[in-house]
Amino acid sequence: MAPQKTGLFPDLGLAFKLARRELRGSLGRFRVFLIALTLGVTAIGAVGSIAESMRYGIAKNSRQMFGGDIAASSTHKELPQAVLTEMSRHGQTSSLIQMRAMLGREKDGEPIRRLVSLKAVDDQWPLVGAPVLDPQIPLKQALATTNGMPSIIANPGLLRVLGVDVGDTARLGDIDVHISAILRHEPDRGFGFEQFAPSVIIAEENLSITGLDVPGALMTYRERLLLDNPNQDMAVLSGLDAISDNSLVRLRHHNSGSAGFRNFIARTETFLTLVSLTALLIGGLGVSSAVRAWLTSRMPVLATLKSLGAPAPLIFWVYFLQVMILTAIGISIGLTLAVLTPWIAKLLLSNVVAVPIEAHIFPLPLMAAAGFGLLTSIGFSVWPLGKAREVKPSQLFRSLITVPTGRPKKRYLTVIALASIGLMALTLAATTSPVLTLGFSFGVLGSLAILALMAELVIRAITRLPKTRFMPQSTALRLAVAAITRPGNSTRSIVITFGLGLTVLVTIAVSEFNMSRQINTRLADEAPAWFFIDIQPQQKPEFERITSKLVGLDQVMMVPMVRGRVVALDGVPAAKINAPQSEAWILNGDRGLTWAGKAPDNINITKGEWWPDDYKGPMQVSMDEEAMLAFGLDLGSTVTFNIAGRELQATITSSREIEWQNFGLNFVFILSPGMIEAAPHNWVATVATNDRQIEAQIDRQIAAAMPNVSSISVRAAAATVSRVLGLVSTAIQITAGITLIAGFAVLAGTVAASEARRINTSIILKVLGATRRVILMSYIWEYAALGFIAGMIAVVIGSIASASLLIGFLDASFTFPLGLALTVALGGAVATTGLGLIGASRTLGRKPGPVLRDE
Amino acid sequence: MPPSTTPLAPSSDPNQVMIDLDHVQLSMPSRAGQVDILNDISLQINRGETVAMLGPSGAGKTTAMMVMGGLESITQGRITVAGHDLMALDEDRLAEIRRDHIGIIFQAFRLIPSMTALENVAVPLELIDDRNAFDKARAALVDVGLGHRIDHVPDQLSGGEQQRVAIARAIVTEPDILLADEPTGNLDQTTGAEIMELLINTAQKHNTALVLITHDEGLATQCGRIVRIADGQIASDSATGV
Repeated sequence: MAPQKTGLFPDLGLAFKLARRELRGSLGRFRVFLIALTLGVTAIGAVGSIAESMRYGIAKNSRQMFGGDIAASSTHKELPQAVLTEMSRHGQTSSLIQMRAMLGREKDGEPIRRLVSLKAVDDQWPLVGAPVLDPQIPLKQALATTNGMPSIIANPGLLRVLGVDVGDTARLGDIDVHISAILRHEPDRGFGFEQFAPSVIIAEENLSITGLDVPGALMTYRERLLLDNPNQDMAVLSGLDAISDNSLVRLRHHNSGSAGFRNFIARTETFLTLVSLTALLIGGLGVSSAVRAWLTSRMPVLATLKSLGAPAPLIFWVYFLQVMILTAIGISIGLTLAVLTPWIAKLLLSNVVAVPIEAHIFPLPLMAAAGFGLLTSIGFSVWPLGKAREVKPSQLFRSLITVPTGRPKKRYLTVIALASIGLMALTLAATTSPVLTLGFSFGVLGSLAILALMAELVIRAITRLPKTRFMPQSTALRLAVAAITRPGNSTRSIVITFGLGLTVLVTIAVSEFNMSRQINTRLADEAPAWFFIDIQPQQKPEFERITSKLVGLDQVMMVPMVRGRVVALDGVPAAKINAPQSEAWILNGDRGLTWAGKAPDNINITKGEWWPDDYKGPMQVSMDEEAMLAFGLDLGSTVTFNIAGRELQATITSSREIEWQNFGLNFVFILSPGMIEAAPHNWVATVATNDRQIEAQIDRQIAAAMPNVSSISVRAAAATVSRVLGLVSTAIQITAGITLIAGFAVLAGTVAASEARRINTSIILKVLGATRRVILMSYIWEYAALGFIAGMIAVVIGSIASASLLIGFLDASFTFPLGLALTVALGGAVATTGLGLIGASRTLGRKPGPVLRDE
Repeated sequence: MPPSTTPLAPSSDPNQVMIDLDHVQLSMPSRAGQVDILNDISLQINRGETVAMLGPSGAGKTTAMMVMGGLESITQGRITVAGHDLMALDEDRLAEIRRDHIGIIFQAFRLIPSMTALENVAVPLELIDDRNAFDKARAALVDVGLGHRIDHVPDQLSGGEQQRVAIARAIVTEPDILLADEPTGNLDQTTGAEIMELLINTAQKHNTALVLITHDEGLATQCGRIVRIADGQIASDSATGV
């Protein structure tokens, strides 16, 4: 006879055969295992797949959405002829001018107008793709002059808001324009969410008729190039870079056009992955308790196999392989569901997100989700499996065979440690942030430790109460107390699983409360009603006259603004600076710059000194402190700007703390007056009022007097931001919901695992004369107490997590909403009670007779 | 770790000692002080011998059987099974001794509920990688009169049938020793008698040493030798003349 292989890896073929036999007809007992694992894997796979489908959509359509392969742009001034000539040598080109403007009309005698993104296009537009117009008329016809008026095509939402339709007339700048078609699809719309300033397209030659192209108006001149040979993109780009060096020209490749939105996708994906991972880890607790319950019921089999001569490693493998088979099933179901999510996202999000979602199967996020699922399953099941192999076959001679307690052998602890390291490595790969990975890992471990400790403390505290003095009089309450503390109780698992799920919910609810509170409070208390841009220097007195009459000059803030680029910091060219991610935007393209003689009233200087009021010397700059530190600059460092084609160097003489959330006029750089005053500039203004009628009057009067001035309603802008935040928040809530469902599933499993014990207890109680009401009340007390404890711990941990997130990561203030946190936690406690009762009450209906006969 | 005594080669010598308990002591601490579960037990059982261990509940019969099967450690003395000093072996080696030399039959049958009768009987053979596991298992089931029930799972079998499957599983590897813990305890009288007859016949057919735990005097007299245990000690050891 060939001897059975022993050691770490026994005969795996035999182990697999026995595992398969053991699982036969038992799949139903693994519902909780499968639900818990499937939910987590689905969530992680779905988040990754949807993000990937957006990234793929961006990559696939980036040329079309960018409008070509390469673009050159310049603000205020037309592009140099040399650049235009060089671009035309490499392929087809198209030019357009882009600016903010107001489109309006009279409605019931009242003028209404909306901020729009006006694109004045040449007859080559668009180089890639085609616009979809309604009615389907040729583009040339749509942009031709009709009845002596220039024609425009416009975004459907904009026309709906203005109450105009095709064939109507609207006011653009100084003139009336004819609306010739609805722009159903704009090929070069760019990437992002719904447009705050929807598009209006006009023929380039008609722009001057509108009177909007006044000197100093914030116009961006763009030249796009569709390469004859797309493989030469980098060569052409560097050639253009060489001839446009030190000029106003900004060159971009189509791949860089989506950097901001890709960054947004990556951040949202990271956050949602972490929430999903929490769901999976809660599922892991379910896996652990399901495996423990399964092993408890199979102890006689394990012991029998051992009595027949099966070595302990074989026993481990027989049950480990069963867990792996179930894991494979759970992961397969999870991945099948996750695979479908890009198609669902395409269906639901296409109207909200200006990103072509390309529904495909994306292997990488699915593999990551499978990896997370596998490692979670291994990490959470090996402990009970490692202990179960130690069962003593001598127990076969007794009626009760239990899973041995204590720590498993070192090799299993090593496997658990390796699985945990693997999970952390995958988390690091998903978040790409060691700080976030460590924060999350220690946050979860810390929460688990606190929950376990609290559960232990509760059990010990109740156990040590002097029985005669503190025991409640009520029988039901006494039974509940006994159930919480008896050997083999579910107290720890309920408090840990539900506590962790509720912690996630409290964290999200408290964070959302703080975010929206900050937006709403600032809107009500501090934010101005309007931003006005493109005010020409000669219009400043008129603007001040109109607004001071309506709200008083102290409610109006006006600053001059030029557009400029940062080209070097401390002499190092911007292109060579490895900018920190959060501050990269400062070096990326044109920025608004302002100057001031006297320090503005509302600024907070943190370092250095402001220049004298009448300062006219070499250029100085006051810089945002956070940005200064992020770039490693200090007082005395230099910043070189390119303003209107001229390079100007300024020395940092002070730093300021900027509160970006106050909806005010905030500038990273404030320059000292002098040479810069000669640059082509205009004025921007904020006007504050809480009176809705005056708010409307201000816009009407400015529109009538200065049609070229664009107004932005802060309320409307905040509403747009809120809608975007709402979308993200919905995604987070759905993911958090999965976390809670995982918690419910695990709780249901925990209750089911103790069903046999409950049946026995309730039967004995019935035999002794207890009514069903008394038994039911004891269940209510037990679960309500555990739910309440889990809820209260969740309030504390969730609030700390939320405060860390807001203060540490989002740089926002934190207020503790006691009512909200308690509502969420108590809601969870009620849910725990309800769910526990549903599971436990099934035991109430059991009649003593049949159960006692079976015994 | 190598066994400290030379393992026995298969033999038909009726005087070959299969189980040798030498001044075995098993004590456990308790709140009331140390409790002696087995107290200085010495006993030798030869190949082919049928021995009934008789005694009241709590006398130590089952513990003595667990010690013989390497399922319980002793605190003093020496125990040799099929030539192996069990005290010198680790858990996995003990499992191998059981696999190669011992068949165990329990009062509660202890069949694996998810497996058919055939699969249950084949398990010990599969553990030694026997290519003919299922053929031999089928033959063993035919031997115990269950050739028509091979594809039934334990839940579909009566108590007597389940115990027959357990006996088939215990004998299928042709062990040197059969340990039976009250094998008829869960059965009615008629079925119990049939099972006893099957056990004795099987042990004799394979020249196996049979140790039978019972508190039924009638069943004990069917064995060749009766060892009476009381308070963890051997009270008497006599041949029945069977």
